[in-house]
Amino acid sequence: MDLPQNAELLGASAEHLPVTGTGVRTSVVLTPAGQYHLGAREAPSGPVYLALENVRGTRDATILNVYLLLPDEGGTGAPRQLLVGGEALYGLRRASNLQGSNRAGLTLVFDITPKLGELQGPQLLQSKKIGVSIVPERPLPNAPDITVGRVSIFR
Amino acid sequence: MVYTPREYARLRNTVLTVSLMGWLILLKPAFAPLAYGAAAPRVMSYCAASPGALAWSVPGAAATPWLAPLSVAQAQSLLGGWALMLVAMMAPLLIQPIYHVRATSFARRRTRATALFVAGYGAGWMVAGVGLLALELLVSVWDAQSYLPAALVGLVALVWQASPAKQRYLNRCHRHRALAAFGAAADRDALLMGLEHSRWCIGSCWAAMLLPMLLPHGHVVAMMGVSMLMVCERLDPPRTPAWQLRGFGTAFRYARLRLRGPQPSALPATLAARV
Repeated sequence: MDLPQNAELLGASAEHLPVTGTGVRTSVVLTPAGQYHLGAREAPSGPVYLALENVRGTRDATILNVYLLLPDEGGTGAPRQLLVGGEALYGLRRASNLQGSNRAGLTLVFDITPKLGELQGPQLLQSKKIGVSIVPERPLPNAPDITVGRVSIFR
Repeated sequence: MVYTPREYARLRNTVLTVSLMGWLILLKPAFAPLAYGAAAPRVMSYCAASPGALAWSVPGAAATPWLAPLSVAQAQSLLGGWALMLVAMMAPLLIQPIYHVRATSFARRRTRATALFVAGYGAGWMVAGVGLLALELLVSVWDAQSYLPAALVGLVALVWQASPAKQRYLNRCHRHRALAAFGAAADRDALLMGLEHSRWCIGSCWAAMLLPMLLPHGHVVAMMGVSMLMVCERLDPPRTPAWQLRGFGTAFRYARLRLRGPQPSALPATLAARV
């Protein structure tokens, strides 16, 4: 993955997210610079990443699929989901272990540049927020065994 | 967190420059007033500002040194010296956490978040410094020129260095919390991260920091050695806690690598050019 020379945080979610059941939704609030960058009519000038930071828990054998939630255009009321990618949580338990070798959880980074390129800027962003949905491959118990520290968007 | 080598290098160079300035002030008496203000001793060095030197300079302290209170100026001088020592020795340990703070904060909040993190970290160490300086004062009152306290603390530091508890503290030093991005929560998180980090850092380094303070001579050389050891032990990844002498191997390899200088690449020239 090509990483940017000057990374900049464009937006972030406000709270910790317990991933339970069939998934969880949150909003990534954008800064004015982030809104300008992502809402441009043409494709973003550089790569843009969506990161799930400090993912902690005990269920290593879980795959999380991440979707961008786009405003509905067909009038059905339900937001359209655009798959960003999926990631298996190998090493989650070890990375979350407070007593041993710990790294405050896993950080999953998805390159969303191609997805943004497929969209027209104004279609994606008229507001200050982007909806993000995190859906486990198989439904999880209702106990919060997996938590996401923060969802953020970088460029 | 997105890792960018150029930003990391820029931050590393800045922090190392700050640390170097701290060392220069410690080594060069002419810079002393910058750190000590009006309380700067006439002949300034870390030794001159140590609790032992100050305790014996108080009138009447020779007879009952533990009863002679420090003046405000002397206390300021001590704490100034401690802060300077922190800047010189601890700044290189903060490169990774400061990078985490900056990379996970919005561009307009980076300076503020960094300042809050450093304030929290410094506050934790200043509180610890009061205890360590008091201990140094007590030892110097007992016998300022004796190597025995330093030898005892050196032994304790060596055992602590090899203990599983030390590894637990080191592991925590590698752990960085998720920071809130907006408003007061972001400020609070940056400050708390500084305080948390100082807690693990103090737990990891207290014995090693105390050793140079108790030496009758050669503070600065001992401080440099301890500082290098602390930097090198942070280069090792988190490990399962166990009895193991840590940091020395990495310090030795690091020193050897630096002394050898840049080595020619083992890759063919064309391939090396692409890399």
